[in-house]
Amino acid sequence: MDVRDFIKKQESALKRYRRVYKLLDFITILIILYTIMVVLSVDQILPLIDSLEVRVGTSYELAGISIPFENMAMLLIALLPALILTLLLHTRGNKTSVVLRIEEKYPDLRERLRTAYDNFDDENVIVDDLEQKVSVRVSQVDPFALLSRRLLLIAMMGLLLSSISVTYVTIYDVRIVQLGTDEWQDIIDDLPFAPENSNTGDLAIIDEEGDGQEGNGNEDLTGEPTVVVVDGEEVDLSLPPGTGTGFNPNDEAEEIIEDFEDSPGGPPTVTPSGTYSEELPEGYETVIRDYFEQLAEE
Amino acid sequence: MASDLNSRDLTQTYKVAGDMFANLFNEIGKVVVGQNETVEQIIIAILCNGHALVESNPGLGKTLTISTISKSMDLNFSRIQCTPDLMPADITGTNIIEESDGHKQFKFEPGPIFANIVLADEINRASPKTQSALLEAMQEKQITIGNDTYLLEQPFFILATQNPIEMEGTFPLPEAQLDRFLLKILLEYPKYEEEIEIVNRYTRSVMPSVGKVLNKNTLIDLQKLTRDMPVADDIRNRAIKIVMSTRVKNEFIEYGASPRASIGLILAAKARALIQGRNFVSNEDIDAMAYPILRHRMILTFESERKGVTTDQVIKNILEKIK
Repeated sequence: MDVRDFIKKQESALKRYRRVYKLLDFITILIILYTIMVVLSVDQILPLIDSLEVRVGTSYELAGISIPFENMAMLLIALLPALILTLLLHTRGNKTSVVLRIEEKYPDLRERLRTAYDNFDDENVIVDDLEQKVSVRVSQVDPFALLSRRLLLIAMMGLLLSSISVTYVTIYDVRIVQLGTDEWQDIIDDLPFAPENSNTGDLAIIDEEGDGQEGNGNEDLTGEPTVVVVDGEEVDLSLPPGTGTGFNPNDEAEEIIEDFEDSPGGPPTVTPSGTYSEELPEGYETVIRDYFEQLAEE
Repeated sequence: MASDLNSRDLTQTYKVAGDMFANLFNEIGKVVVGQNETVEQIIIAILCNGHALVESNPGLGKTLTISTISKSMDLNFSRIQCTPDLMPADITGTNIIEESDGHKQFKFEPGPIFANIVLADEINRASPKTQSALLEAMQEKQITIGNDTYLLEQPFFILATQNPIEMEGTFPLPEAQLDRFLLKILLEYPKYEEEIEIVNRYTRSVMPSVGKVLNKNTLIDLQKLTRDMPVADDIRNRAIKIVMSTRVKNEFIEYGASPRASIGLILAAKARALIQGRNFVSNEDIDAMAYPILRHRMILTFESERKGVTTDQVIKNILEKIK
């Protein structure tokens, strides 16, 4: 086997090994991040997100296993950071060339292998001699030379430990932070960069009095009456009640109809709606009709 | 056909190169005590088809070393003792009038430069005019006298020496001429044991002699093999980075080495690898040859002189930075 073929084979082998290391590391990191999320009760944040609120509590069937939406969402959230961390972890390793790695593993090939590889196209007595000697030596090199068993073992151990951790955390519902949705809401509200009413979106919280505002509605919004003195006479400048409301686009005040009276309720009549269906359950038609008629009379 | 024969000769020379170098050092060692590094560097300069400048105090055996090398290689050797009144024609030779059969004609009488190995002793004592007469010979391997150009016989090697302590009445070599020397070799005083051996050898009635190990053709083959020595890309790039970093002006460096230094460094590293019996250039070769290649091509600042920083210390610092 000549030097160039040897290096090509080792390069492709190294690529395969690197893919395996990357995959193992990615899965381990993903599991670790997922475990951290479970432990920190991150799933309680999901109901606070408008678009996810409706899905919370549902579950998905995957290969016969029912997976809650919260678990799926946390896994998806952990995907991106896991990917970034894996890439960062493997950036340095990718820069080391195959030739240098083999030389590191086989010190007798140090500087010889790279010289033979770089001068492969040259032809002279010394290069030929070098190529021949290096070829003989590399033919004895272990085909799995670049497979770092130590690295593989570490990756496998990491995966095993993280799997055990996530299983334990899931089964025993281990949570360091026991926070519910409301507590998370408070934490988010306290954040300096949190937007106001971020939890409610375009919905307004309506209290029992129905005025759409917090408090009991007795706040003194206008303050003390404003009084000015004109020619020695005090003039009250406070605005009469109702001022400032009901303006139309033409800046004309809406007419306040003070003598408006509610019209009395009409006699109840049975009016079929557009969606009413006459196809009532067989045998129960009479019962259902009687029920609704009585309801209307009352 | 000719190239086949040539490659066959080279193959044969390459196979026995290791033994030849071992014999060569062994023979030189019979006469020259110690100075292994100096001898190796001189042979490296010869293998690179370059020239060397040796700087040492008087009496350290420069002439003995170079004459021994020339004898062991079966090469013509000549010596020029440089003095302020030495004229260029004293080195290159001159046309003389010769009378034969009643006719007078000019005849070129070659000077001492027409040898394979030339020792220019105390070159800094010669006038700049005479020093520059060596320039063409060193670079072009030829001599021009009047309208005639004479090619020098191959291999051609100049070993110049200079004395670092007696600077009065000397003409320091200009940078352009220094750059033409492949190596600047520093010769140190021998160690105690070596000096005992020197005294023992040279106080007997029988003086040590040296046998011939290499002939001209073999030496030329070895010069070809030196150039054939392969270098890895990253080792070559490192050598270039080392040379280029001498051009970065800082507290200690005023001017750096030229691209000729890069060529010289790679070539010298190749020759060292060949001498050491390797078929590839190592970083170790680059590190070893960086000192003699760069030390005469760098000009240090006044600050470095004030602080007593030498070129070798600056080179060492550069080598440590560029690993």
